[in-house]
This record gives sequence, structure tokens and C-alpha cells, in this order.
Amino acid sequence: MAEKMTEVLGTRILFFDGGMGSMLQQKGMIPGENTDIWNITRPEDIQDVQRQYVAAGCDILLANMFGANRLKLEGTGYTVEEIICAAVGNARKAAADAGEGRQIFVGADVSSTGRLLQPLGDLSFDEACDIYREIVTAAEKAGADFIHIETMSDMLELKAAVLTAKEYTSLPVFATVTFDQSGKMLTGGNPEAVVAMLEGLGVDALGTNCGLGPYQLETVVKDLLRVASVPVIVQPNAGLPRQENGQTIYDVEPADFAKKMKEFAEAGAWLLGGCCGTTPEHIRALKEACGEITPKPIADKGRTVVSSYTHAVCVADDPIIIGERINPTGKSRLKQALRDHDMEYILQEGFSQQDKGAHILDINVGLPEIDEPSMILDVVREVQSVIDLPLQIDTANVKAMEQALRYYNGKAMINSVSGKQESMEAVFPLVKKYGGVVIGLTLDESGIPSTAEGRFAIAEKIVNTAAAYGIAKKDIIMDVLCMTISSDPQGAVTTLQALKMVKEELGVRTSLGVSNISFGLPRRDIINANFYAQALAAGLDCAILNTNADGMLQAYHAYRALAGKDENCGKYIETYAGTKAPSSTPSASPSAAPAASAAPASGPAASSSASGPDASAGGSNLERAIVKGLKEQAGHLAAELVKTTEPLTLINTQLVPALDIVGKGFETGTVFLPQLLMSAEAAKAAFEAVRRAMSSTGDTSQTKKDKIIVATVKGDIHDIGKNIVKVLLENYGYDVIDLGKDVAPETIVETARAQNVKLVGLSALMTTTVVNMEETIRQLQEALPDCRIMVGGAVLTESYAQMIHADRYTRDAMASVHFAQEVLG
Amino acid sequence: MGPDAQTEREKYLRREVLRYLGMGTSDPETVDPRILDGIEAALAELRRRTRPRFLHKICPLDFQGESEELLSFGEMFSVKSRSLQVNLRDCSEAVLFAATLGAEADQLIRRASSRDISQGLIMEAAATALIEDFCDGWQMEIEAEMNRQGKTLRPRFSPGYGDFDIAHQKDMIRLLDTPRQLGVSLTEGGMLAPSKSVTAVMGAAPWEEETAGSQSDGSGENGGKVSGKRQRCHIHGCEACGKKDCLYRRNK
Repeated sequence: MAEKMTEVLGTRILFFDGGMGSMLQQKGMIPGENTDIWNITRPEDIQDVQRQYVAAGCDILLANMFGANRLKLEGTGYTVEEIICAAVGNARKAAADAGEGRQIFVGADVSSTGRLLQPLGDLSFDEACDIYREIVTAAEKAGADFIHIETMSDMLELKAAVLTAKEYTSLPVFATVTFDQSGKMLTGGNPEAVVAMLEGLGVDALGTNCGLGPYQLETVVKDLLRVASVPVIVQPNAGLPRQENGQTIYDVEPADFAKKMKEFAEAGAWLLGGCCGTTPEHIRALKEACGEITPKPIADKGRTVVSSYTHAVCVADDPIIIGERINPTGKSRLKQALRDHDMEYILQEGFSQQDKGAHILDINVGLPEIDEPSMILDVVREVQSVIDLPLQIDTANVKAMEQALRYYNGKAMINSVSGKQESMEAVFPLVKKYGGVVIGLTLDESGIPSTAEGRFAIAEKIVNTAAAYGIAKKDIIMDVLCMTISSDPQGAVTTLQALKMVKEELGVRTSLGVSNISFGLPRRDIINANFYAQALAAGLDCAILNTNADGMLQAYHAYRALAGKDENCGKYIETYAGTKAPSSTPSASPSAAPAASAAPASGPAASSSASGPDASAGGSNLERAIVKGLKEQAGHLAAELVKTTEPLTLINTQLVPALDIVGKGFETGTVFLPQLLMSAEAAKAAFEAVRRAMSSTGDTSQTKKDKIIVATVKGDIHDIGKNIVKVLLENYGYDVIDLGKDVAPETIVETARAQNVKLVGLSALMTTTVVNMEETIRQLQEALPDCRIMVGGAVLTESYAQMIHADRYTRDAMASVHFAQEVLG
Repeated sequence: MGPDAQTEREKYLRREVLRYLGMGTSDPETVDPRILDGIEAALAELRRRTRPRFLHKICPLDFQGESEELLSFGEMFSVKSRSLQVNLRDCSEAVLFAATLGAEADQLIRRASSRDISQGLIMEAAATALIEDFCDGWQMEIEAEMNRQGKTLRPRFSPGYGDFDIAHQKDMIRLLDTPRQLGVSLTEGGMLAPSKSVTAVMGAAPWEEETAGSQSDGSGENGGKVSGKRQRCHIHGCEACGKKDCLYRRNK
């Protein structure tokens, strides 16, 4: 008679068991004790609790294996497999008591590893996956009916767990997440973002557990039910915990618990249970209150949605801006940044697009000379570590696409698939596995059809083929492509026609790379903005555009105001109130506009800034701007000067002398670290202007001096000190290779060897990680006796540095500059 | 807390930020206004975007002989530490405490640093001062609760202070279930993540014993007086204390 879990779903409300920890506390569990080993040492106690839940009427027992992972079992003498085998076995034995005709499912209870994933912590995504692999394969082998991933508080760890369960088992996968009173996961994700990612990964049910009581969970459950198109699970605590005489107490009584839960069942939750503090009495009351409720049918919400680790972006009736600046096509400075692995430049592009209002950032790193799969992964990770917008993975390289999708934290936009058989066969399996919303391009083996009907036909083919892979229409956005009107006078008309057709007749959302329309024409900004406005009026949902182009943003804001999508024209007023229309002289190109509006070369801004480094000393305006730490001004002045001055001369006669003034001030105590860094940032802006000018003229002559590696040692995840040193060293022209934080000694040695580096700077914050610094030094000196090593960090002192055989203790960033000058010149 | 105390606390918080920036001796009046503005912006953003949280657990305390320097926290864990033992002398209970600004603080610091390293430094300093400020506030709450029970509360003492081995961070994390409850875990290298997190032990002593007279004369390495009600460290004991080279001086 045994039914499958997935077959029973929706036929009746299903009931999980309740709290385990609180029950085991009554049996003598010590706080902090790992009771997973009780499965072997005290199986009767575990079974006794589970029998009580069976007697109370639950349908599902979660095996007692919450902490059964290799990290938490370390030192217990038991393997993950032994514990899980016993845990599932105990639940089965307790389930056998249910009696004839009653089926009890046993879920493999999988939770957090207990460690934070990078970049918040030090656990790598791959390591997390490997920990979960061990758990889920053991659980399937032990005979669990499904994998139940619960109490997850970090989006990326949740993804690792679900992905691994799907990859390594054929069991149904449920996943529930813990939210706090702000309605977010501990690392920031909201319910919409959770649902987007989990549905993308293909879970069989999702929901929330732990953290809050049923009454505090109301908003979260509402949100889940509003957006989820799969069954929803609700397993609250018995209220919020409080301390009383050293005991943790939960206050919500079974009847109250059941009363609130009944509302959730009526609103559409299909699976109910309890977490911390709930008892068999809670489950009994719950079953009595909800047992007769017929599960509410689940409607497909039809949401076209992507997400980051914090929030979701739903492509609905409000237009979406996808920022196109991180795409090297036609951008010489970005190309250079990619070749130099200059993440900082790339991040600045991300920040500025976010500031300008982009909802999603396009990430394209395709250059013939770089290793695209590894580069796209680096860029996705770096961008996600500081920017919380969803990303659009934009690549024609399938391997790069898979890399990026695997490690992406959330549900990504994918650019793109076309109507070519080969493209669909390569891309759709990735969309299915990792989730995502994919952009479909209406071209195929015979090119781009010249008619709207032709493009519609390809769109239809893409949608139908996707369906065969199990990808719903809602996860496809159609790009009917823009052909430049300079070669095809009907280009725009055809595109708009096709756009309307796919949207209305095929029912898919749409996207366009708008600026293609104007290739070959003067003042492309005029055509682009007008075409964008027309496309919006025709129903365009997403536009990939340059957020630096004011005309495009004006079209966007004006459209929203005109179309009644901007309540009280609020956003329009906020953006444009107090601004003036540009003068009629068409001197500046749209992309140069922001630079032109920067602070003037001299004038009030320069003289009004107060104390700080002594700027009355002679020198040029640029030197003064750097000494004063005026970033925008320094960048602007350098950009002007580099038109008439050799870059190297500019650096040596103006930038470096200015930095020396500030550096001396810092060393004599008249300039403080924040001011030193403001000057460093100003110098950086000046360098950037020089570099930009050079890459645009194709000048590739070296302005950089020798290479220096900086890294925070293995085990250490604090990197601000290292970052400060990096900025200063770069200011003085060194080519700094930043290996980041938590860096293994081997990586440092290998990099130093491969790149022939003569100076390495190491940072450590704590006594516990200085041992790794010592080990790194040992390995470096053994492998590369010529390489010099400077060390710094909160716990280090002169004598400590000597003890671990560093060549120099650098007490601050300027000291490291001096040592670099000593060693490298 | 009255408005005056609140103002004082805010002032103190800003002085702390300046101290973490290496500008502790600067008169706020003469500090570059861009730095002061940066501090205000950082504090405001941290307050808006982080979700500071804490938890505590009270457990019985056993001294297992002065010479052994061994302390047992209920059945939960034991610590061999002279400095902690001195700190907890006469206490019958210990409050195990953990707190964090959460992952958002690290994200804000990282983000600010990538945009502008001087802003990153200010954000880092502001976050460090802010978590201490929150801990002070929560400690006062716990103290009030203790006072109601006729007990007094000692200052926070964290793994890593004196000879209280930082390795005990692991016990604190496990006992307080912080990965699950607060989202605070330990890295392989033994560091707390998110970085703006704190664990600490606070002793609770019956009122009578605290007032019955000092058993600590403040000599030796224990410069801070931890016993005797009148000499009890107040919340900012370390900063207010004149013994600058004290081994236990917070935020050295």
C-alpha cells in the first residue's frame, strides 16, 4: 500500500512531528550536547519521543540527525553514515507502531553545517556540497523517504544543500528556512528570494521552520503562499524563547498553536508541524484542528523572477533595467581591467550602475585571450560579495555559464539561448538544473528573420523546446532583437511588431538590447532614448542599457510617470526635481556627462575643506587635490593633465610627491589614517584617469613597477588592513597581486614563483592565525630564498615578527611602502 | 536611560570610533569634518541596515580549588584560567553571552572598502564601536534582571582575555547554539563570523557577597577590581580605569 511522498502531497494536510531537542532535554540532555549519537547510545530514548509523535497523529517523522555532519561529529567516534543509518532506523521502528493502514514517512533531517560560507565565513561552496553529499547519500542508503533540509539561515548554504540532494539522490527534496522578526534570513534573504531560488532548483516543497512562533510568522507565511507555486511547509516554534531559571521556555500552548496554524492551512499551507518547544500535545492539537481541512489547490503564480541573496526581482508590469556596463564589447578600459584581473574597476562599474537605478547587472567577461569560465566565476563572486542585485550571466561559453550558475547565490538571469538546436541543447539542461530565467534570442540556424512573423516562429520554437526540458514559459524572456536602422530602415518597426506579438500571443516577457538600434548613426543617444520609449510603450519588460546614458534613464522615468506606474510621479520628482535641462550645445556625449558635472578644477570645493594635511604647500592643483584627499577633483584634473603630459612624468612629478607629503604627515602624526586613505583614494582616482586615457589611445607602455603579493593568511578572514596596504602600494606604482583572505601557504608560494615576485606582504589578525603566517613564511623561504616577506596585523609586534622569521615587521601601511622601496626601489 | 545618559552614550560611541581610527586623542572639534560626517553616515547606515541581536544563558558555576584554576560552567564545559577565576571570584553563576551585528555589517564594511578604502576603515571602526555599544546596552538589561534577583553582574570577560584560552570560543558557540540562534559561527581558524560578534562570560554574585567586602586587593596582575560592590567595574570599566597596562584592559 505504500504510497510515495510526492503522491500523497495535496491529497490531505500532512503533519510533521514536533520538537526533538526540548523533549530530549527532559531525558537529561545537556545543553550543547550532540544528541545525534543517542541514535546509537540511547536509541530507546529517541524512539520513545518519536512514538509519542506517532501517537499524537503525525504523518512524518524526521530522523534525529540534525547535526549529523562530519564537522559536528568530529571527535565523537562515529561516522556520518553510522549515525544516519541508526537515525533513520530509529524513526522506522517508531513508525512501525502506527498500526495498520497508517503510513508514516521518514524524512532525512538535514541542516546547516554550522559554519558560514565564504565570503561571510571561510567554508567554501564546494566543501559545503561535499559535506552534504556525505549526508544525503547516507540518508538515501538508509532508506529515508525524502530529504528534508531545514533551519537554513544562509541562502548560499541552502543552495549547496538542495543542489547536492538533487545531484546525488533521487529522493524528493523539501527545504525550509528560518526567518527572524524582520522577516529575513540571518544572512539577509527575504521569503520571495528564497522561493525564487528554491523553485528554480526544483524542490518538491518549501517553507519555514524555527526562529519564530506561529503568531510572529504570519507575514512570512503570507509572503510564501503569495509567491510559491509549490507546496508550502510551516513548522514554527512554540513561540519566542525566554530564559527562566536557566531554562529555555516556550510559551505558546497547544490550543493557541493549533488555532493560528489552522489559519495557515486554510490559506493554503499543505504541510504543518512544529519546531523548538513544540510537544506531542501541540501536534495532537494541530491534527485535531486541521486534519479535516482539504488542501487548497496551488495555482502556478506564473512569476518571472530572478533573485540575489537578499531579494527577488520580479519581471511584472514595471519595466526592469539591466545594466550593461560589465560587458567588454566596445569598452577598452574594461577589456584592460579583465586582462589585468582588476576586480576593483569592475566593482566600481557595478556600484555606479546600482546607484543609477539598475535592477539587474549583466555580467559578460568574454575576451578571446582570457579563461572565461574561471574569470566569470571570479567576477560573479566578487560582485556578489559587495552588491546585492541579481545578476545576468551573459556568455556564449557553456562551461562558463555552468560555472557561474553553479556558484551564483540566488536565481540568475541567463543570457542567452537562441533558436539554434545546439544552443537549446546546451543551455536548457543548465536552466533546468540550476534554475534561472533565460533570455531567448529569436534567431536560429538560418539567421535572424527579417519579419516579425519569422521571429515569432522562433520564439514559439524556443518556448516549446524549453517545455520539453521541463522549463516553464515564465522562466523565459524573449529578446526579438534590434537590427540597426542604418542598414534596415524597417528594423525598429519589425522589432516592435515582433515584441508585441510574442508578448500578447505567446504570453512571454520581453527584453531588448536597446542600443543596437542606432549603430552607424551620429548622436546615437537620441535614437536610443526614443526607441527605448517606443519599446516601453509597446510593452517591453526588460532593457539592457547603459545606465550612464541620461537619455535612457529619462525615457525610463518619463515612461513610468506617463504610464501610471510611478505613484504620484514620486520617483520622477525625486530624480529630476531641481535639475535643469542640459544646455543646447551638444558638446558632451551622454557617457561623458557625469564626469563633466564633477567638481570644478578649482574653486570653492578646493578651499572650503577644513583641517587635515597641510595643503598650503606649493605644488600644482593636482598635488593639492591629492593632499587634501579630494577624489573627484583629483581624477578630473589628472584626466585634463594627461592630455598634455606624459603619463610617467605626471606620476613622478605630481602624484608621488603629493603622496610623499601626506605620508610624511602620517608618520609625524599630523595626518591620521583616514586622511591618509582619503589622499590615497584621490591619488587612485588620478591614476585611474591616467590609465583610462592610456587604454583609450591603445598605449600599453608599462606604468607599473614590480609585483608585490599581499594576502591575509590562511584561517584569517579579516582583510581591511591588507586592503589598506594594497591601496598605498598601488599608489606608489607597484603592481599588487591581491590574493585575498584566508589564503593557503601553497597558493602564496605558487603565485610568487609563477609571477617571479620578490616581495610578499602577509597579514594576520589573531594569535590563532599567526601560526599559519609562520608556516607561510617557512614555505616561502624554503621555496624562494630571494623573496622578502613583510608582515603586519593587530597581534604582531617587532619581536613576534622576528620569531616567525619575517624580514620586516611593518607597523602600518606607510612602513610597508618604505620596505617595498627598500627592496624593490 | 534618561536623555542625558543617552546623549553621553552617543558621545562616548563617537569617541570610541575615533579611537579605533587611531584618533583617540583628537579633540572632536578639530577633526576633519569629512571624517566626522563619514562616522555619522557609517553609524546611521549600520543602524539602518544591520539586525543586532544577542542571547544569554545563565549557568551554575563551580570552582574546583584555587590551585587548580579550574572552573566548571554547570555540566557544560570547564575552563582552566587564573584570570577568569579571579574575575569570577565569589560568583555563584555565570551568564554566558553572545552577540552580533550580523552578516550585514560585514557586507557594509566590504562594500564601503571596495568603494573607498577610507570609508571602509570608518565603517569598520564604527561597526566595532557599535557592537560594543549594543553589548553595553544588553549587559545593562541583564544586569537589571540580575539586580531584581538580588545579584550583581560583573563586566564582560571574553575568551582571549588574559589566560582565558580563545579556544573556548568553541564551547561558547556550541553551548549557546549561536550558529542557529544568531547566525554566528566559528571559522576553522577559530574566528567569529560575522566579524562583528562577541562572546563573553559575566559573573553573577549574590548581593551580600559583593557588599561584604573585597576579597581582591587589586594587586598583582589583576589590576581591575572585580569584587566589592563599591569598586565594581561599571560598564566602561576598562576605559575609565587608570591602570593602562592592565592585562585585561578591553580594546587595548
